Amino acid sequence: MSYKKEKIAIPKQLDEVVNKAIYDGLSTPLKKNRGLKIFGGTVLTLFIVFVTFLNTIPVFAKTMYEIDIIGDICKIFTFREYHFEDDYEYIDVSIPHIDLNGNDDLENRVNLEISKLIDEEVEASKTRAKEYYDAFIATGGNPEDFYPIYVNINYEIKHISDKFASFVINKSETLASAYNIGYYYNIDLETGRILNLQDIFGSDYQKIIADDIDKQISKKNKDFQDSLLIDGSVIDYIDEFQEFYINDEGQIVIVFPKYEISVGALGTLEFVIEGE
Amino acid sequence: MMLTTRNDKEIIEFIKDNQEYFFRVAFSYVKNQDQALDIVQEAIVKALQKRYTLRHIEYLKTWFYRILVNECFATIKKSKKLLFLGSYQDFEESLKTKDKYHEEDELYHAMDLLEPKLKMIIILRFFEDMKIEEIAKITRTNTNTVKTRLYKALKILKMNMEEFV
Repeated sequence: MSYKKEKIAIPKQLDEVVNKAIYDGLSTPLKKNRGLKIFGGTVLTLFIVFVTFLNTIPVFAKTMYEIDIIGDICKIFTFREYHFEDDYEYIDVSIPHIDLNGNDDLENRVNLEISKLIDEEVEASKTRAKEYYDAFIATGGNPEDFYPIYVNINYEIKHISDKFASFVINKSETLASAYNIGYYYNIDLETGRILNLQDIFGSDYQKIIADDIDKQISKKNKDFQDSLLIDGSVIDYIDEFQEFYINDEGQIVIVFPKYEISVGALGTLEFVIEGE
Repeated sequence: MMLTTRNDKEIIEFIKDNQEYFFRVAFSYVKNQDQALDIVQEAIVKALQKRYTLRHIEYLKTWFYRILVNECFATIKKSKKLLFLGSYQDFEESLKTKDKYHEEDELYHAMDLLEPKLKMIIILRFFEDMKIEEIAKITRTNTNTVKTRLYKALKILKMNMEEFV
């Protein structure tokens, strides 16, 4: 076998492509939510860079404060992240930690709930992965051809101010088809309680929200309307367990998971409720 | 803001030092310069984004090649029909004008008839001079599987080349 690899010409662009890829790889945060990731050894460096930047460039200082991930009352950061893989599955998890300055009770409750939720989701996926693997082998599949199930759990901060903190724990699982699920958390930092829609819109919340969404739907095109599975109004779908979050602008966004009110092709639907 | 740790520096150095090898592996696999460049680029971006999954820096090479190889497979999957047709025409072309080609080129074209997994093993073993154990780690298989596939691939190659020698 005397194949000479030198015969493959190296294109001139290679260097540039590689340099750009390195830059992209390093500068894109690992996940959308990991804008600020601090590890032991780099804390000091980061701190020094911060101080220097904050003091010298006013514009930079302003934008940094606006990110507000490090709020006065509430801090959300990556508490732990881990990766796990075997023949059946390939799992990436990053667990957030919520630090509510002074409100230990709520803080413990929220963090405990999050870690329990994530543990349960990971376990459920592992069981499912094993079942699929067993079924694959039982039907004569070659173990080497099995594609591990890819599970990714991460979080995204939607809103942090002195008043509210809103974030979502996302889970995506890729098997034959991909499936995504989001768990939304909204905390009223002033009262130290988990927010619900009734707190925001009053006892008439179902009607207020449904009217707003119905109006938005009526302005959409026919294809969209035909893909909905609702009968005239979404009011029957709005209840106290309705998922929602608070966006950057402080508006309430109602979230309908895939299949809930529409055919699967539309995916997850979000409606920004105007007004409030 | 770019923060690099010592591990990161080592990864970047490894990438820069070996970029031509990466390109050659990708190119041998897809036979298309643009696609090969895309593969190298994607592999580097993915590797760096997922660099926290590299727990021991000693496994850097295996870890990176695994990402690169997977990227090659993904590309082939995406453009399977297109590529197969393209390479088959090349192959026929090479039969017609075979006296212009050396044995090496015949091997090069005969390789396109191998299924993806076999082809990758040939590339890693003979073009990149990797050890069987190394290939096993990269492709997440055991050494026996690599050996079996290697013999199978060589047998197919030999048959194909005898046809037009």
